Amino acid sequence: MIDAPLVQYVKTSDGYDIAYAVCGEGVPVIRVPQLWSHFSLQWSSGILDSEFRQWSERFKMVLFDNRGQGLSTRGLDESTSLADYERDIDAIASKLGLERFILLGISYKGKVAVRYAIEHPERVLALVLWKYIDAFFESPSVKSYGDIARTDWDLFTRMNPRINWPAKDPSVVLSVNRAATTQLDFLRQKTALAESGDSALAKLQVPTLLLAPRGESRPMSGEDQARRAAAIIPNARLVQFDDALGGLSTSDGTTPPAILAVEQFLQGIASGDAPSIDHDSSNLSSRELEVLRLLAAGKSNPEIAKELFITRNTVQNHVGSILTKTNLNNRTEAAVYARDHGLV
Amino acid sequence: MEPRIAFTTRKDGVHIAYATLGDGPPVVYPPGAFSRLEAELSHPAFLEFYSAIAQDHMLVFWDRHGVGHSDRNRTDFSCDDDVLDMEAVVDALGLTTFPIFGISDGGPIAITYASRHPQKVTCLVLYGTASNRESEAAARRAIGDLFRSDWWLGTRAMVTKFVPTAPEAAAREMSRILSETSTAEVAAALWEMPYTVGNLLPKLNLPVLVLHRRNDKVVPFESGREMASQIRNARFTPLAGENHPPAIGDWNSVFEPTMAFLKEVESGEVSRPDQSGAKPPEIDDHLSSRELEVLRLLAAGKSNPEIAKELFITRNTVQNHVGSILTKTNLNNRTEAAFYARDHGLA
Repeated sequence: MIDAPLVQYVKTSDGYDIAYAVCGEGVPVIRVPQLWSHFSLQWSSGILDSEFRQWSERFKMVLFDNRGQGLSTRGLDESTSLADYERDIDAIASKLGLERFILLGISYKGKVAVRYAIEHPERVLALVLWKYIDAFFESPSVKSYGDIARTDWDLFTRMNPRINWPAKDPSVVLSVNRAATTQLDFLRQKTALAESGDSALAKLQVPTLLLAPRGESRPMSGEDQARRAAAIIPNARLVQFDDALGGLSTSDGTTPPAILAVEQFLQGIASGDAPSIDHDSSNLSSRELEVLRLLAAGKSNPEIAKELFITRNTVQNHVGSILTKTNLNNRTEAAVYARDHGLV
Repeated sequence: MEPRIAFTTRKDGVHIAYATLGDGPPVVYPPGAFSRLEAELSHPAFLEFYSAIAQDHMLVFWDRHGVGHSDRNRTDFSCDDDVLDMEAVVDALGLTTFPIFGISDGGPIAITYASRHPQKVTCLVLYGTASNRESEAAARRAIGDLFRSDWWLGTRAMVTKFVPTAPEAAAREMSRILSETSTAEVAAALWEMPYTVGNLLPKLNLPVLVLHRRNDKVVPFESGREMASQIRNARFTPLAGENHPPAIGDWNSVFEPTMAFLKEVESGEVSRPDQSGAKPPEIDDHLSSRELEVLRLLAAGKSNPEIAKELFITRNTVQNHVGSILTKTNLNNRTEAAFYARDHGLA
């Protein structure tokens, strides 16, 4: 069994000390942590130890705490932006001399990984987004929940374990979360992450795998957002899992399906077998793909217009263009096409 | 013990579901939050606490206007509207004189009712409550917004706030029960009610016991202390713990002083402040209220350092109090003092 790794430090270009650790052998994976990060305590307290172990049995895992979190420098600058978080990844990759690595982005921080992969496609062998969520605190139902972080930190830190870690002892998660960050740093991180990353998704050029739980109806589960992202990202592959942990839980100690999916994905890349759901043959733009996905979900043009914040005429133009490019005759055929190509 | 549920009609036509539990002298128990009859009387922990009180009393509950089995069409979210519920229930049961046990939201209802009907109310026991919510207003609004935007998350927030350390399964069950007893809109409106009954406090002229758990996450301890300080001769008992509902956690620490106080009042040992001069409410003429508090803790088996910690006083002060208690009561040691306390209904 792999033990909790030793913590090391690297300084970012703007002066933050970032705590990181390397464990396991194989293809390097840099894991961009979730909102609450304290990998050392998350490992030793048993909150994420099995997840960390599972990954590091198959890969050379690089765990770290983002600026303002865990064992990294606390006290975020007021102007901290999404781009600043990329510096943390940059510093670690340089220090370890990693030329090519898998970038693993967790839930709401997936957008940090997305931006990094867009700017450094030569370094990112593959982008893996686990439970990708672009709009979290920005979605209407979660906004009020996020506001509680400002008005009632005690309650917010107590709710998080119950909402996001239902299988763990809430008191343990609570103490880890409280050790992971301060209210001020959490709020500054929240502000930085409010910037949407979805608009950037279409620019991704690296092979991308989205891992998401299936069929959860809670607003923060992100199933919807992962599907949406998969439709926008060129050549993305979406794999869904039925378990509550999004493919990372196993009852019998075998390798979790999400990790197996990453291995398969890598094999596909290595064998030159483009991990593609074949968008390219039709040359559909990312916007057209989005329209096609909604159309296939049975939405009318006015509904699609509303959802995408565009006019009905624009939707009509997109639909026309989709039919031309795919050489199809009508919406129904387009819906079938979407299904055949794994879009819905 | 099964609660008996019935209905009564307010003078404005609103139907209120109420229930009684047990037989004996009444204890009127205004609603503390959202629903009594479904959420509380169907919950084993709550029922255990209520059944203990109902051993020798008739506990009177109701669903406030807007929730549970009472009419749901509430639009007036004022304390006055809640008092109408109470007046209707008291009339329906033909109650003449009674104590009020007001917890949480029930505190302002109890205070307002006692001010309007001083001849009916024998005493007040106020637990986990305050006379205003100024210090909580911003936090309450944020949670109210959560109720309205996502009722499921809202009930999870409420339960987390009320019972911070509940095991997850129990918390989910409480959340489910709550979500069925009201709508998000009504719950948010009740939750955000301002309650300003501070002006009534100095005019209260009856025995009052104030109990507050130190780490209450819903109504801050300081708000309870401040309220007690404004009531003439109120007896104030800080309690350990962080759960807001008295029934959850160490309910004995609420139950025992409450029942002891009710017995004192019933037996005439505690009377209205203006009939007993400036004398604080006492069980025994010559012990001070602080000495009584020390005696109660001593009788509960606490050591001097523990008592010192609980009352925020030094060990020396505790020692002085204990010495003074032994002298005044003419007893020889702590054990005798503990028996004395028990004989006098203190423990």
